[in-house]
Amino acid sequence: MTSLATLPSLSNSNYNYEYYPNINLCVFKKSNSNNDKTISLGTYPTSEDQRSYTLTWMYAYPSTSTIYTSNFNPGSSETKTIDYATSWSSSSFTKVSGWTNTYSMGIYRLAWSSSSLTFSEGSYMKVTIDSEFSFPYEYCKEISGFLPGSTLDTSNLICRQNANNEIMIAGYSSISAGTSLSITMYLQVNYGSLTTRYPNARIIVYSADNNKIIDAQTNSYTLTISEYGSNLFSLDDHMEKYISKGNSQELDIVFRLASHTLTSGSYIALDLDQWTVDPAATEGKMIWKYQVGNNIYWVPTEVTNPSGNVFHIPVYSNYSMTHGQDIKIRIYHLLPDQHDGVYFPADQWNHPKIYAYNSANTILEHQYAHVWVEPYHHTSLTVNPILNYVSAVTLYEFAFTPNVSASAGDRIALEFRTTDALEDMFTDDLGSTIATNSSFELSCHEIDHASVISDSRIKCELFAGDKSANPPIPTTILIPITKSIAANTEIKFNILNLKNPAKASYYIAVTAKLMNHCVESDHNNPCTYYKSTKYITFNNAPSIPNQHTTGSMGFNPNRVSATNA
Amino acid sequence: MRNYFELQRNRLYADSGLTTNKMYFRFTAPYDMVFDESIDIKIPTVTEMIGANTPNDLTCIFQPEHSSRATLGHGLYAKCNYSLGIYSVNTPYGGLPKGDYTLVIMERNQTTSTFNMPAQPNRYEIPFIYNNKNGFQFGDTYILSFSSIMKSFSVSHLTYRYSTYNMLGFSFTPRFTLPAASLTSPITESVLEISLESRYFSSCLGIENIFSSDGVDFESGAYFSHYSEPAISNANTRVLCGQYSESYAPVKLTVTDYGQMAANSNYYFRFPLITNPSGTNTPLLYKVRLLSYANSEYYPIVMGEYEYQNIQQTVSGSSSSQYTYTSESNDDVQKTMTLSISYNYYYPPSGTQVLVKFKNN
Repeated sequence: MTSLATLPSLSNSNYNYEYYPNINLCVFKKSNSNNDKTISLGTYPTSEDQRSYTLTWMYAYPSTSTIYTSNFNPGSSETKTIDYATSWSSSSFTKVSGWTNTYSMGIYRLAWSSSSLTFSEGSYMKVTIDSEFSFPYEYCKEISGFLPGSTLDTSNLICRQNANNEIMIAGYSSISAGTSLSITMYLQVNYGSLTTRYPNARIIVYSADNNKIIDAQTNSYTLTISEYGSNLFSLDDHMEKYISKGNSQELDIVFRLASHTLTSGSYIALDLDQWTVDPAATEGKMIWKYQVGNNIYWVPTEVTNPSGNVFHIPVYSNYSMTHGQDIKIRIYHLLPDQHDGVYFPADQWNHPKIYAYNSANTILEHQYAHVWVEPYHHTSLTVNPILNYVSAVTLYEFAFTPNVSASAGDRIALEFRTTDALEDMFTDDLGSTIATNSSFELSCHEIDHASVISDSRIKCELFAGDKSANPPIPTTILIPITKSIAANTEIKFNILNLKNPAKASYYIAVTAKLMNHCVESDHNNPCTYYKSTKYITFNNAPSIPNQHTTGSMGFNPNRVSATNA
Repeated sequence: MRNYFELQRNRLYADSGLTTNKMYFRFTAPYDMVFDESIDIKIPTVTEMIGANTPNDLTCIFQPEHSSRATLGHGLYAKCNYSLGIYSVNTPYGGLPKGDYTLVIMERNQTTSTFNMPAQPNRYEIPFIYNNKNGFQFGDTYILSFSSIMKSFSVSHLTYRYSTYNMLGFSFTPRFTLPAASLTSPITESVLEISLESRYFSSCLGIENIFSSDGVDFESGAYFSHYSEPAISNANTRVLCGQYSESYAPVKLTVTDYGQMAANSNYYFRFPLITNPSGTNTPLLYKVRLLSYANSEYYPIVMGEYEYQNIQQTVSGSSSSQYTYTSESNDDVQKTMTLSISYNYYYPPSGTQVLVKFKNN
């Protein structure tokens, strides 16, 4: 309640009333001689979000010459607050799949509901996960209960990491009371010892005016960490190709043993899940080797293949795998039958697993990873800032021709890399002042009014990046696609007033993605189904041209002549 | 015709059946007018400002102003006639020296016929043309505003105490219907206008202080507030600040988008938090007008008016303080809340009016 205008009735048994709009004034007229020193203002609905209201004063006029002014105890006016809600009607925090070893990554679902609160279009949610978890992936895997908003220009459904442990959900249509909401996301256990913890999530819903509607914790998840897992298990960053469907390549896998050192007789079991290794049975050979820490030498190893895509890598005497050190396994071939290294058969999530066994075949540690195999890594993207010097604020032209089709309701995401841990790149806000809900509407349109993305003017919503987050969050511009786009159709548009990085002569990535909404039923296509990256560089700021006043100018008579006609 | 006279200052009220036996037209002749020259006066319709009988038998007299009386005596009769909405008056024999005159047009048979006055409020522009013997014409225009006085009216005050928030109530019954404003053809605007003397009231009635204490911007023309019976939710009130020391402009409250105000129906408007003039024995003066503007017209037709002239004055009165407190329950977002305000010790007697102001944010 912020205005008397919201009151459906101010009726009182002993008082009649007149209401005055615009100035929030009510006049009560005592209608009888009953002893009544209380004026009821009635019963009415409170505001959608947290608001304060102030009773400024109260004057009584018993006659045309007498007035009783009033002070509210203890001051001359009184300010009250309509508080935000502090609990969800129901909530749960559960694991969908994965292990809960130290540092393991799994899929978790957060579900919540309020039986009494509605969340209007324009409101937004911030979900903060307790520090026992961290986000290994920027976007939510699935969302449920949220539909794209259609009323506001700024509505652009998104569920995305917003800060280190924070996810923002925005751009949804109005959510009625009682709606079951949930997000499914990848979380990595951010805890290094064997213990039981009870992490939960804090979900704050803000109104479009940036006032809280609810700020409440969800029920906690019982995180029992009973086994060690590597705090590092990944593909090497420096591979030559992108992991994409139909490709194969020499593969480096890096892991770290949390607390056990493997000696002779122990072995590593590597389960490549759906990825395959060419047996090179005709005339070639699989080659496996491992490297421990900073050793300059590699240890060749003779692996066995007990089943499917599972390989056992023995540890040799004098070449122990020491815990805490980076251990790299390299897989490649000499004269393979079909593919060199590891083959990636499909665009899908793959879950390679690694196990550390001792000589008694007892698992000491195990860990697994999630790797998204992209359908195709395209090279069609061109990015052209009209002013190319550092820190300039300029118009950018973008063009790319995806080899896949897009549907109405999908989105274009432009990601601007903010840092590579060595150098700062694009600023988190691309030079714009981003509002509290971390988004900003940019000025943009399709080049030549091509109407490929939309029949009306396209909307470009800027979402802040965070170069200090780990891993860094790229600054992202989302553009809704409102019509079907056939494969191999050029998409070209420009965006005004983007700020160039301050670093000159340094390759900086801009990535264009086609994304669809993450849905529960689609486990193979989480958000991104097309990606193209362009590396661009910037020049140092141009100097102001000098005016030269020295020297002389004359005609060369061999080349210039003047004679009377 | 160098000067401009507005006879509506004499308050010509429109009503069905009103008549007058003489019509007066004041003018200034800038040149000597000679015999055989004439004056044409074109009236707005052929049913108003003409005699009950067709005015074939007219008498016209040029009355000199005081300065010319020595020359012209008490007036000169002139030949005149009426035809197709135009009164034509010849210059009297011997001509008229330049100067100020009042032209009187009457019927000879005054006991049985008179000139009809408008039955409806209206505003007329009446051309007054001098036909020079050389073929030139000189002219000017009379503006006649026939308004209507209210059938009944009254004013109520919450307090007469000086420099105190007052609530001004205006109750009136118009004699003629004020049409609703219309955005479609014919486009019209309708306004209830309350004028308060800025000689006594502050230039913005103290309303600017209400807005500033709420932290809301205010300027002349801003939306204010009113209570009305019958209540019309779309109606709105604006404050037009006045100025006394140089322009003598009254401060005005205007209500628009109220819709039609029907003849013979009672209407009540109450305007809140008008700060009374300072000092005791200060007169309280208000003028109320119902204005109808035709499309593209800068001047309104006054469909009803009345003036409240100094019937009450400010008094010293008394002021003291009472403590109050609030009680509320269920004051979270999206709940159903109850709120009440109580005095600690004071029991308001019957008829007491209690003003409760919430901050307008």
